[in-house]
Formats: sequence, C-alpha cells, structure tokens
Amino acid sequence: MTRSATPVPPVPAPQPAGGWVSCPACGWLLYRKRLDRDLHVCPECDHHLRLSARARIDLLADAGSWTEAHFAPSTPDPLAFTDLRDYPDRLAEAERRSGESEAVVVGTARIGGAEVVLAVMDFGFLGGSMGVEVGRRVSGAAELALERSLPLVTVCASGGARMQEGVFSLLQMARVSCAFGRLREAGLLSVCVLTDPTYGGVSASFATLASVLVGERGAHVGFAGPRVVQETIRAELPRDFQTAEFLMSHGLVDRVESRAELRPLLVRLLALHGAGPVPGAPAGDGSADEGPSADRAEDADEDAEADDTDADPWDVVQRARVTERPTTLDYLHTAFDDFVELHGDRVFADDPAVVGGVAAIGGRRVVVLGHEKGHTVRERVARNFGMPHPEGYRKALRLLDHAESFGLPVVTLVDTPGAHPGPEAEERGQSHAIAEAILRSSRLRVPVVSVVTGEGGSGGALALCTSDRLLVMENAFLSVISPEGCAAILWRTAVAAPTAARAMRLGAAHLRSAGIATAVVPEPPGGAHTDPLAAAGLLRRALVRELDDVCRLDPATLLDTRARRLARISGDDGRPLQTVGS
Amino acid sequence: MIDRLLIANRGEIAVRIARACRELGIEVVAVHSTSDRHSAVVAMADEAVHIGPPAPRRSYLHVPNIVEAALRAGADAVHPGYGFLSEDPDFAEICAAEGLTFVGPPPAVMQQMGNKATARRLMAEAGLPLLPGVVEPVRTAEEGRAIADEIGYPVIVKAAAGGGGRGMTVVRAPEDFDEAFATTRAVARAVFRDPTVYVERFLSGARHVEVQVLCDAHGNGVSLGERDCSLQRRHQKLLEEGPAGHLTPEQRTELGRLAVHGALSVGYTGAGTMEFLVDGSGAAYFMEMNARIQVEHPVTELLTGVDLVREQILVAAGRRLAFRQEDVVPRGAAIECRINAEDPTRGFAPAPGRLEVLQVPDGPWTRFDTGYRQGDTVSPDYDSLLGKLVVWAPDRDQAIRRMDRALAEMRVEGPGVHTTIALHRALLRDPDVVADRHDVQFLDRCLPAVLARAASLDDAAPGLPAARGGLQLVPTPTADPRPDRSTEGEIPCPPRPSLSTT
Repeated sequence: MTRSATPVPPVPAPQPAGGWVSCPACGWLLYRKRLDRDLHVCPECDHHLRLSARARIDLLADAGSWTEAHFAPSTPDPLAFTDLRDYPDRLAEAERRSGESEAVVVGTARIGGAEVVLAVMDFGFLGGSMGVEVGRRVSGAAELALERSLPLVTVCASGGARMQEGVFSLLQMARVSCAFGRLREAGLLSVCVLTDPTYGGVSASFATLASVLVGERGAHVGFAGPRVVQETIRAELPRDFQTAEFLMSHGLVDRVESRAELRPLLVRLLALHGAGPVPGAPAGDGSADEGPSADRAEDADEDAEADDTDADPWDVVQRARVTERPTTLDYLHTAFDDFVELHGDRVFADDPAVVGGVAAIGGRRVVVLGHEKGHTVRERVARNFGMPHPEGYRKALRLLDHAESFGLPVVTLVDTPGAHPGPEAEERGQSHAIAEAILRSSRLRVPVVSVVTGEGGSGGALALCTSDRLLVMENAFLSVISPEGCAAILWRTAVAAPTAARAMRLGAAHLRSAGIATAVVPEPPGGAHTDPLAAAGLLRRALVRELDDVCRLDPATLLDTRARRLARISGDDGRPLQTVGS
Repeated sequence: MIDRLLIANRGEIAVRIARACRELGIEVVAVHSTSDRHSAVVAMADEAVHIGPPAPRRSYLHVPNIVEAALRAGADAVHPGYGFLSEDPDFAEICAAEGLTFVGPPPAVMQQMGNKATARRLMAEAGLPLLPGVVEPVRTAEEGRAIADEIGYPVIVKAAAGGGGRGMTVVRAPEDFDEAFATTRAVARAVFRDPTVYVERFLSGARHVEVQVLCDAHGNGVSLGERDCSLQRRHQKLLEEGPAGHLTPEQRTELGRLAVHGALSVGYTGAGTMEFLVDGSGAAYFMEMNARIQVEHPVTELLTGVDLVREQILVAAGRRLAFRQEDVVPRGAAIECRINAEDPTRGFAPAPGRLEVLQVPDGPWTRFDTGYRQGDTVSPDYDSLLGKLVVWAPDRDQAIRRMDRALAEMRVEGPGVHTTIALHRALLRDPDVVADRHDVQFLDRCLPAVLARAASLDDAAPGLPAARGGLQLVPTPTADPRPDRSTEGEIPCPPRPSLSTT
C-alpha cells in the first residue's frame, strides 16, 4: 500500500440540462449550484440525495487533509463471470462512470484536527457492492488504523455482496469482520456512517460493527431489501421500514443525523474519545473549576451539613419528586462541558427512561448513564416516568462495555421510582437485565462514580449505582421499596407513607452515616429545583473531585477496593462472615 | 433600456416599484401567490402572473416559476424588492443566464456581501474600520481571553443562539473573563441548548447608522446620507430616522465617503446600504452591507429628493448616474415608523386579519407606503409589515410632532388585528428618544416601560375628546337624507344651538 496526495479526478454525474435537478423524492426543481451548497439535501422535502465518495470526503475531512491510500492494482474476475456482459467490461464502465477504481476509497485525513483513517464507499461503482477488492481495501483500512493507532471512520453505501465474484464476495464479510474485531480488541474507536442505501453483506458485516453507528437522515439500511421481504413473506411493511429513524427507534444505531450535522458530530465524537482536545478543558489552572483548596473547603462543609441536617425523610422524598427537579439530561447540559447521547441497546429498542453517552467534564472524558424522567406530562409519559424496561438496562450494559473498551470512567446519575413493572418487561427479562447491569458495573475495569440525584427506587436504581463512589444529593434517597409500597404492606394503608419513610430512614444523612454513600452533594436552599444552575455547579464540583480521586487507581486496585467496599456494606459495621464451627 | 419589468415581490414594495415603473414608462408585470390574487399591485400591473400557493417557498421564493413568468410575460428585467430573493446570488445569476436584467448588484458581488466574514474581510482590505472580535465561535476560556486581550476591554461574550439581551455578558477586566465566559456558556447551554459563544468588543451606547449608496456600472458612486436605525427589537428595526443628528457634519461626510469607497472597491452597482455601529465618540465600525433596496429607503428619499427605486432601475439599465456627490444635499429631518400587524403586548406575535378599517394619515410631508387597501386581508403567510409611515420636517423636533400627529390620525381595525401604532407614539414620547440619546439596546432594555406607556395612550381616546359631544352652532341634520318638506326650515325644539356645555 502506498500513499500519495493525488488530485481528485472530476466526478462525472448525469445532469439534466440548464443546471437544474429534479428531486428524486418530491420532484421539486433544484438549482444545481444551490444543491451543491446545500450538501445535496432537498430544501423542500429534506431528502438526502446520494453522494459520491469524493463529495463525502470533501464533506467530512478538513480541507486539504486527505491523503489517499493506493492499493496495488488487481483485476479480480475469479469466476470469469459473464451475464449480459463480461464482468471486466462492467468494471471498466463503472470506473469510467464513477471516476473511482473500486467501490471504496481509503485514505487518511483530519476531521476537526483529529487524524483518522477514512474509508468511503461509492454507490455509483456497481452499487457499492463488496467483492474481493472492497474487502481487501476495507480490511486494509482497519489494519492501517491499527498500525498507526488511529480512529477509523467509514461511510457505507452498498447494495451488498458482489454477485459477479460469487462466493469469494461472501467470504469478504468474514475478512472485514475479523479486521474490525482486531480494532475493537485494540480499543481503537471506529465510527460508521450508514448512508442510503446500506444492505446485505455490507450491513451484516463492517457497517454495523463499529463502536458508534450513525445513520444519515432517511437512509435505508437493512439486511434484506423491502422488495425481497415483501415478496418472501407477503407482509405489509411500515412506511418508515428500514430507515435510519426506524433503526434508531429499534435501538440499532446510536444516532440519526442530517448531512450538515455529520461532520460536527464526528468532530465531537473524536474529541470525546481522545482524538483531539477535550471539550471545555480548563486552560492552565482551571476556569470553570475551583482549585483543590476550594474543594477541600467544600468537603468540610459537606460533612458538617451531613451531620447536622437530619432532614425529615418525608420532606426528602417529596423534594426528590418535585417535577421541576433537574433531571439527568438537565445536568448533562449544565454540569458537563459536552455530551453526545448514544441511543439504543443495539438489539431491540431505545429506552427513553435511560439516557447515556459520552461526555466531558472538567477536562476529563467520561461515559455518563442515567435515568431520565422529563418534566412536563408529555415528557414524563414519553420517558415512562423514568422507569426503565430491560432494554434500558441493556443500553446501560453496552455503554459500560463502551467505557471499558476506551478506558473512560463512568458517571451514573440515579433518579427512578423503580424498574418498570409490567408483563412486557418480564417477557424480555427485567431481572436478568438488572442483574447483568449490577454485575457488569461491579467488575468494570474503569472507575464508576454514581450520584443518586433524586429517587433511588429499589433494584431499578441499584442497577446504575454499583460503584466505587456513591454520592447522594442532599434531597435524594435510596430505598428498597417506595414509602407508599412499604406502608401498604406493613401498615396496610398507603396513607402511612410518611411514617414508613421515617421508619426506613430515607435520606442522604442515613446513607452517609451508614457508609453506603461516600459523600453528600449539597443543594441550593430549598432543593435543586429552586436554582438548577447552582445545583449543577455543586454537582459538577463534586464529580470533578471524585473523578480526580478515583482515576488515580489502576484497574486491579480499583476492582479490589470496589469488591471490599461492597462487602463492607452490612449495617452491622462490617462483621466478617464466619463459618460457624460445629 | 428596460421596457417591461417583472416585480418579484409583494406588498408595499411591489406597489412602490410599480409606481416608479409607471413614472418611467415601463410596463409592469406583477407576480402573485394565490392569497395575493386581489392585491393592490395586481390591480396596478399591466399583467399579473399567478406563480403558486400562499407558502413563500412555493411562490415568491420559487425561482423556476418566477423566471418562467418573466419569460412568458415578455419581461426584460426583474426587480426583486427586499426580502424573498433580493439577496439570492443564484437568482441574480439565473436571471442573467435567461437574458433578464436583474435590478441589483452582480451575482458575484452579492455573494461576497452576503457572507458576513467575506464582506468584513473585503471591507477591511478597503480600509474600513471593523469592530474588533471574531466571527468564529470561541471554544475555551483561554482562547477567549487571548482574543479579549487582543481586541481590548470591555468585551462582550455573546451566545450564538441568544437574542434580546439574554445570554450576553459584558466583561470589563481580564480577571472577570473566565467567570463570565463560564456562566455565559452555562446559561447558553441551559437556555438555548447551544453553548456556542462569540467574543466581541463591547461598545456602550452604540448606535446603528447606515449609509445609503448608489453606484452605476461605470465606476461612479454617491452617498445619499445616512439613516439611524437604533430603535430595534432583537435586530428587527421598528423606527428609522435621518440624518444621524448625534454625529457632527464632518463625521457624517467621512462616513459617506467610506461607504462609497467600500462599495466601489468591490464593484458594487445599484442601491445598497453600508451598516455601521457608531460608539459614543462617533467612531464608526463597519458591520455589513445590504445589497438591495431597503424597507427604510423613503427616509433618504424625503431627505434628498432622490427617487431611489427610479435610480436603481436606471442604473440597472446601464445609465450613468445623473448627479454627483455635490448635488446631494440632505435637508431637514425624516422619520419612518414601521406599522406592523403585530401585538407588541404578546411578544410581537403576528396579528393578521381583515382590515375592516384602514384610514391612512395625510397632510403636509406625510407619506404612507402600503400594499393594502381597506377591506384587504393581511395574510399570515408573509411578514407583518402593513405599511410605512414617513414624515419630513425642517428639524427633528417638528418631525417627531408631525409623526405623532400622523400616527394619531391613523386607524386600523379588524377582527384580531393589532398594530404597532401606539408603540410608536409611546416611543416618540420617551425622553431618551426625544433627546436622541438612545442606543441599539434601548428597546431590548426598556420595552416594558414603553409598552406601559403605549397602553396608557391606548386607553385615552385617540384624537379629540368625544365625551362631551361636538359643539353645534347649527342644527344636526336628521338621519333621513331627504327630510320631510313640512318640517324643513323649522327649528325643532330640543336641538337648539347653544354655547353652553351643560
């Protein structure tokens, strides 16, 4: 493989006369020059017209940063294939029409200053189909990323495996998947942008194997095309079948972005994964963050507060439930410097009751997970009042994996009445999902800092608060059952909820004195909802302090300390379990 | 020469252009959307072409239909007015490609002036002073501090998504910068969900002053004096006036010279406006150039006696300017009030509807430019400008009184229709405005007080007090226009003329 910066050949594209193009989706007449400036997105119907590989590179890479990797020429025709025409003829014509030598272009470039390996497919070359050469180039791109320790960004557009190369094409799926597996093992970031259309052997291999999957708005992505599906099972398909939006609602891609938002997103993603400056990194001695001396003063304050503010447990419960109380997303936008949400469990759905993604805080990159309740009635219904389904915990699980692969510490923000109780949650394995999340976070090789920001309802909360450090906000609580539930069972009336709350000693003070919580995060007087920005500031300070502290430990010490911390929590001051002699 | 001109616009500016064409002997082709099919300009035009449904993107912004209309109606020129396609270089280019004379600057110049960063660079090269600051977002406090040190304090940290005074922090000293930067970003992120901020030099007491220029295609350019448009709400101008009385004659001349020099340096042709921000000392900083006729052009017309739309068309036809700089002598003072169908008390929400009453003020040096007649309907599909009331007087005080008189005469009524008339009367009573010491932030800062004053004006009945009834020296004519013969001449008992008011 050799590399050289060669001038990009002009892309010949079929053009109607007069410099006007008709939108393939809505028929609107578009002035070509304007369409070029609008990134080939129809202003009328938002249809994203297909782009050549060169146009994609221009769109995503920093100007002048592209260096193409050249592959030794090969003319594979392993089957000496002929349909209506000879295969080499078809290849020659595809090359002439697309200006490319194959259906994928590989090279290195900078995106927002971050050096990456970039592999871009061209649908204009035999429908972007994957034959031996595409397999060779894509796995070559992954190898180049490995060799140079660079992130890999791929842009997919393909009808699937190339028929003319028969079973050799099929086996390219294994070849590229293996290459992506090695990338994953090495902890290198890969991002795949799924564009219209991505199908078959490409979607069922490297296109969906990247660390982060981004669908371009309206792109059709799937395994079997809609016509095949319809003709095979004779089923009526939904209108948005196999669109990027469909994939996101089924938890299969992390995000859907419009074309104009792709590059800014990539820049942020790269920065949040260590390729480029940390967003909002304090310059020198820190701007947004107080120095260590201020933190220590804060520590003293907190302890004092934790000791003498034995708030009434029922007041705490009520404050924790105020609808205006800041939620996880509020804190992500106010206490953190940047946040890119990653959606979906990659299996079944995107649970809106759990949000997560990569974020930056005080110059540190982290993975953040949390329950999300929303504020308005509409939001709360959409978020299922912050009660996760199994897919919510499975999203958490795969983001915990993500954190471990990239060595990012995890911050969790806990605020849930509990896991969703319902038949569909049971069918999909609510218990299994919660248990797996607890286990995974108890053995994660990166630090976990949890903050109970509001209600910490039972196992649904614990799934996200098994951690090295457990912080509790002043008006937050962790509880085995809701006070109403406890009252209904033991007092035989839910009216006794305040009494039950007091009996269970709900509140930060008890958690702190019992050694369950490691610190209390103060809130503005009257509760976090009275001054959300100030509350965010206090949370930020606490998180930065805890992260600084816990990130000093190596993985072995971390796991060991975490196990011992969990073992110590017993309520009787850590009496070790002893075998009773006979 | 132009024989037949298509007006690619609607409302008052379409009527304004049609009038100029009539006076020049040019035939008028109007285009209209479905909802404008009975509009004033359609009635005035030699030919009217229906170009699409009410939504602007399918009618007044839909280039293929407008170009087709021009070609089929046999027009040889297109005037874009303001808004819509007036600053769309593609439209200008397509017109040229189809052999139509576009009334405006060349597409390339329009493109350059349309990009704020390019325009600023070109004007800086031409020697115009720029406000120190960066157009690019500032990412870190360190970066911001470096910029602030370079441009000098005080600086303002502005949220890109902000407006109306929110998400802005003025920083007066380097030690305050980091905190201001962090809080502005936090507020921007919390309020607008977008933490992007800019850093700019902060001007206290800044005024928006713009210079009208006119350039022909033969390298000649003149300045037609300036307008002060400091009374704006969230960058929407409400009231414009001229001249900028807070500047000395020397400063005004210099500003005019700079504007013409800047316009000619980029090969500008036609009517255009150079916008400046002027600080308390009279130092001016170039902001941007508007490559089109502007809403407030009548202010300049009243001050100079030059018909700007006429000159625009003549220049587009290739004529040389018929006057030189020394021929332009602005006289007196002029004020324009934008009468919008908006409800200032509900955040200036559009309040369109049928104009059951539209009584337009008149009298000496009082001009009302509108595209509506009584009985027309203000459509919610377009901007809410109902018309522009413009007055001239020998000095600013008289102009303010004249404007107040004209505003009081004006009546606009209809179901759901609200206007900015009372707001303007309240503005012209504000001591700061009367004393000409307001700045560009005045309305964003003082709007509640102005609205309260407008409300009290609204409560008081407009015009003459009607409570005691009119004084009558002769009997009131009876309701019946043809009164009974037998009673004619006789004075009925009760309605006896009386001078007593009891």
